[in-house]
Amino acid sequence: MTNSIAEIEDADCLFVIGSNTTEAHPVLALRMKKAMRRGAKLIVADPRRTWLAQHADIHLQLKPGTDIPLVNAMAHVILDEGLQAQDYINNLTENYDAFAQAVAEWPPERAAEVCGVNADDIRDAARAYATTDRSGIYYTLGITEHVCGVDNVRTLSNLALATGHLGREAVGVNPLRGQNNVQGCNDMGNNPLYLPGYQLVGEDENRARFEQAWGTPLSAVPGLRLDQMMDRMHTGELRAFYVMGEDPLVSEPNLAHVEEGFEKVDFVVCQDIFLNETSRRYADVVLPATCFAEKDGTFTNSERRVQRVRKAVDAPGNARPDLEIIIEVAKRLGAEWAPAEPQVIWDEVADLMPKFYGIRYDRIEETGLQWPCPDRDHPGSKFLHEGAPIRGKGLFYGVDHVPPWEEPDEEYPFLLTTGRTLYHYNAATQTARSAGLVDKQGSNFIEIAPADARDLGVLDGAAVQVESRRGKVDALAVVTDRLSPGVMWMPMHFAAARANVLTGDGRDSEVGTPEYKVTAVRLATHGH
Amino acid sequence: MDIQRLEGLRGCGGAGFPVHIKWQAVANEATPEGGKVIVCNADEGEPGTLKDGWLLNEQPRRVLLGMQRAAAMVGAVRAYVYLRPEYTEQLRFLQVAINDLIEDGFLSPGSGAMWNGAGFPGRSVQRPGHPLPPQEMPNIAPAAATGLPLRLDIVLGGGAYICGEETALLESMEGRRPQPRHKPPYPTQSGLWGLPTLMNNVETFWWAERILSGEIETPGSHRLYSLSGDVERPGVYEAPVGITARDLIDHFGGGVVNREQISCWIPGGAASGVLPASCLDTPLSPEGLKEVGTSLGTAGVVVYAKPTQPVEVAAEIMKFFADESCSQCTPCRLGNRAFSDWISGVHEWPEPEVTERWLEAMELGSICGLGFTAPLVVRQMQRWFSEAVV
Amino acid sequence: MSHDKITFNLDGEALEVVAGTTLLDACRSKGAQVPTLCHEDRLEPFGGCRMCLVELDGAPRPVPACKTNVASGMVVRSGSDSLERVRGTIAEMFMAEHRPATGGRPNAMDKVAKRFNLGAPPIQFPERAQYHDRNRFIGFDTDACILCNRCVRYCDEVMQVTALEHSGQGPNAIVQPTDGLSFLDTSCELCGGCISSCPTGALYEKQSQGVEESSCDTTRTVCTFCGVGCVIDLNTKDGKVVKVTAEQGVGPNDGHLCTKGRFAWQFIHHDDRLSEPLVRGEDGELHAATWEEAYARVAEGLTKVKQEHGADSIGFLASSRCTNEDVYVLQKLARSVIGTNNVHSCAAT
Repeated sequence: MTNSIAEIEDADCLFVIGSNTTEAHPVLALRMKKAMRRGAKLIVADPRRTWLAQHADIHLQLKPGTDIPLVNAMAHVILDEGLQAQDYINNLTENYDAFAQAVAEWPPERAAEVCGVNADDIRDAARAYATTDRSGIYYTLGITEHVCGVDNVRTLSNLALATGHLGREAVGVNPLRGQNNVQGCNDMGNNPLYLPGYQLVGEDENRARFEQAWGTPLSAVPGLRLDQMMDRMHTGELRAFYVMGEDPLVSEPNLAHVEEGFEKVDFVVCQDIFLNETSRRYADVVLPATCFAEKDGTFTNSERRVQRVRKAVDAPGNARPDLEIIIEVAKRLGAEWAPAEPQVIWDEVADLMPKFYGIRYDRIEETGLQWPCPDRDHPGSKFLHEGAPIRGKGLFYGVDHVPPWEEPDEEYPFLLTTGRTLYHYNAATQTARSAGLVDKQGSNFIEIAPADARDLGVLDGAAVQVESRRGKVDALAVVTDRLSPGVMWMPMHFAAARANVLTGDGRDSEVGTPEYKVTAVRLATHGH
Repeated sequence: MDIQRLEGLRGCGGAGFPVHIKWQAVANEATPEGGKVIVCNADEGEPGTLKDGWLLNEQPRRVLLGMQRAAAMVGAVRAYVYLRPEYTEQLRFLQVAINDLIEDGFLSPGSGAMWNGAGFPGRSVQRPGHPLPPQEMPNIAPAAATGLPLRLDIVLGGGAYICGEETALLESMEGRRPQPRHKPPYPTQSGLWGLPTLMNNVETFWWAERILSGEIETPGSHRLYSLSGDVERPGVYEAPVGITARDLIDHFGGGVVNREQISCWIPGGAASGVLPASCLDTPLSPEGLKEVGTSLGTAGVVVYAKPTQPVEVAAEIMKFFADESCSQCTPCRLGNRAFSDWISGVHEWPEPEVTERWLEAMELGSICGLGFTAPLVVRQMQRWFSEAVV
Repeated sequence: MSHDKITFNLDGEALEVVAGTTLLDACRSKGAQVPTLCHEDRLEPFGGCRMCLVELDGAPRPVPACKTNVASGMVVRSGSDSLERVRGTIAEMFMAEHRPATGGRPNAMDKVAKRFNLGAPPIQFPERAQYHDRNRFIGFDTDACILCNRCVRYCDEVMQVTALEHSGQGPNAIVQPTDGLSFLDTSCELCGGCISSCPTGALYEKQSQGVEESSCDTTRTVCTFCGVGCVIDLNTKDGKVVKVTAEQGVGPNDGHLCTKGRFAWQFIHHDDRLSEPLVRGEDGELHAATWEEAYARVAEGLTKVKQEHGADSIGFLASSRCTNEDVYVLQKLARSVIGTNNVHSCAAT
């Protein structure tokens, strides 16, 4: 997030796209609700009529996978009506022409047709966003989990640059992180291209710094992304897999494909707090780790705030902290590292990452600090891009519509999109062990528009089978006007009905993020 | 200014606030988007009071004309009658009168629409589907802007005593639990949907119409007395302010039923407390009743013949208040409940020191008139029937 | 927002505050001990309990400090004998209906009773009907409720789902889920914010029933159920987590939590937790092993693959659920020990 969570309540216009915030980020959504109660305008772009959409001033109920036409059309209106921030564009951006040309192709009427929304609503949304001084964009996986995820984000960035809506309190572009330490996991260099602190592994100078600190030479060869690893399992190029706290056999798309890959791997280590699909079936070794309540360390939240995690209880039996496990494994492989003291490790991290240099345990005892925090007196950064974009000039992109990897056809006539619910979390290994949550939401379901339900003869609550070209899962039908006809929605939480059995091989061409949000499916009622 | 002609007239809903001051206050407010509002409080709920219902049966046109004059004088564009839901007959007469006035050009076409105000159990937020504030109703242009006469609609009350309290009434109209608002701001500044609002009682508008039409020269000289209880001819009587209860009972009410002796009586609705027969010669005027510790209230005179005991009457009143407390503020919710139990003998009276403190807490600590005037009933018992409340 | 300063007189002293400040905040800033029950800083002023009454020159009767904004030139007294008497009497009224909840939950009425030196109330009203509900998270002890409406307002103003209502009037007035339904059958999202706003412990965590709050240790840490990073306090007793709470004014969450953060902590001590290393045997099954055996097997497996196929034939998948320190050492393991950049996490958002 370029802004802080607390700033949200001061925003006067919230453009929420591809985020069911009240369910996926319920506590952050309270800040949005507070802003709404204060009178802030709310624009929601979502294929579902979510809580926020119901309470929005404008709900753009777009077809999944048509974000670029929608946002380009908003930009079109902004340029057409002269609502852009010309000074900001002139002084602080580059590549404006490519952007202007791209959006010129998308008048609202054309986008309206592709997106399935009203052209005047697009105009109203563009005007509200552009003409409100304190406007912020908020997005989540509804934007990124597409073949064009990166381009989707670029269109939003274009929108912010064109209106100069960046670099002020409550004004910016804010991806809301889905997991407690997605931010930190990226920051720490768990990325095939970046060393910790977003330092490109391909650059000699960066590697040299780490080689010196770690006392070993480092490979300059860029690594494989997760999706590439999955593919290389098939080709026999990836022979061993070390999985820490993940369950690819639930969370990755096109699970049949993933399973085949795992069959071919020589050696699999799983380190986790529960046995899961992957470890049960494929692990050679399972290492029992500790959960957050059993260890010390730090998490970095969505607003770049590094916060302390503290041990409250002992781990069960012989389970050990992840940190200790990895250091012991390293030791068995011949490396002598500092002892498994989180604070010692963190100091190593901060010393190697200039943007984190000022963040130290003694400073975050009470309240976390937000990076960048380059020195020990730095108060942390509430919001980014103050005065000017960090890279000097904000870069516009000319982006055009990229259709989804798979679209409904005669055989698979419905468009399925997936997501999170309030009551469960990811593969539900933790939440499904809460009886109180299971009471509220206990099994898989699929939301179906009333017209589709009528055509299919599906009653609310009926058991149905959802089928794509890759597999089928069971679900209970929930007939609801939250969806437009032709679109269905299913949560991704239930191990007994893994939504990713259905999802396909569409991936973002640049970063490999799977297209979880668009799958062509058909429906069968049970007993047929 | 015409409003000054109302000087002398006091509100007939119980509080007795000078009418011309209220009208002037609304007239002085700037007109916001959405316009100013007139509300006629026809939620006649004070026990012993029946004059508003009678007026709406007998002379609804004059009441509505009073509202129409008020609107013209304060610059309001829409008006509402908040009607006690039991007044179904009155509703019919009102509707007829509204249609006539539309035809006569006094009210805008479309007037007479109706919706339900909220009552208990009630929600603290507006119910879905409830009418929106006029600011958010773009399709209904404010009457003043279109040059049309007043738009006047009807809201059926929520069916609780507290709905007659002016700010609870506004909450009810807006679709929320009828709990009184904190004042200030007063409805004249921020009333229905936050708009400047002139709210008066049915009788008040009726008198205002008679005064402004020139029929009456001395505003405030007369009241409509509701006479009920053990009298031969209960009813609504127009009589001078300052008439004694005895004259009212004898000359208008035809005396006490069966010529029984009077045990006690209520001068101005239940909230004005119980008086002994020895006070029957007190003038029914603000000043006269002040002498005996109470007020003219709604001018609802209720007569109790022997063998009814004054403490029975007081216990009934306190139970009514306890049951009807909106339960928002503690002193009213629990104070009334305690006094109801004490006075009816469900619980034994505590030490006088406790009684005094609890009365004081209700008088000083309640949000609205229900809470801070209810102790009067107990204090009047202490003063006139001390042996019954120890 | 206006930041104009205005001056008024509080307890005989001139005091300057920012326009829009409530009398309650002004009194508190000066250290005046104004009691409150229905007030909560996260909620809009209500003014129902009447404990915070103060005297204001020109007002016909005392005004609630929480619901009254300071105006220039006001003359206010926050603690006269008469005020204390009225407040004490209102507290006494509360005690006539309030029956403290059992189970060691904090109760604001204890402090009130102490301050006003309250004995047995002069009257005791009958008990209310208990609220039986099949949901497993939120319990409601009706007799401890003082109708301060904090839970109802939290649900209306903060959550904006309106799943609780102040229903009825007079002696029958109660707080309850919409229409008296189960918490599971209303628009309730089971966030438990109502519990956090309840001053008397009438609303409580069913999962923590009977746990004396004062006997718990608390450890401040961060919730793991999304990327917001809510700061939470793990309440522990005898080495087990028994409750999750959050302190107002702390962290990005300001004391708020969602249903997962507040209630879904059972997994920590769940029987399914892995407690021993497991190694797959010749039979194809996983068997318990010692750490030494497990480490040796990991080292052997990775070394073999590296020797036969090279470092880049090994992949690492880091968890976005683990700490920075954990995932930092994982990529360090991949890069500096194995020698590959094949390290990724569940794809970046």
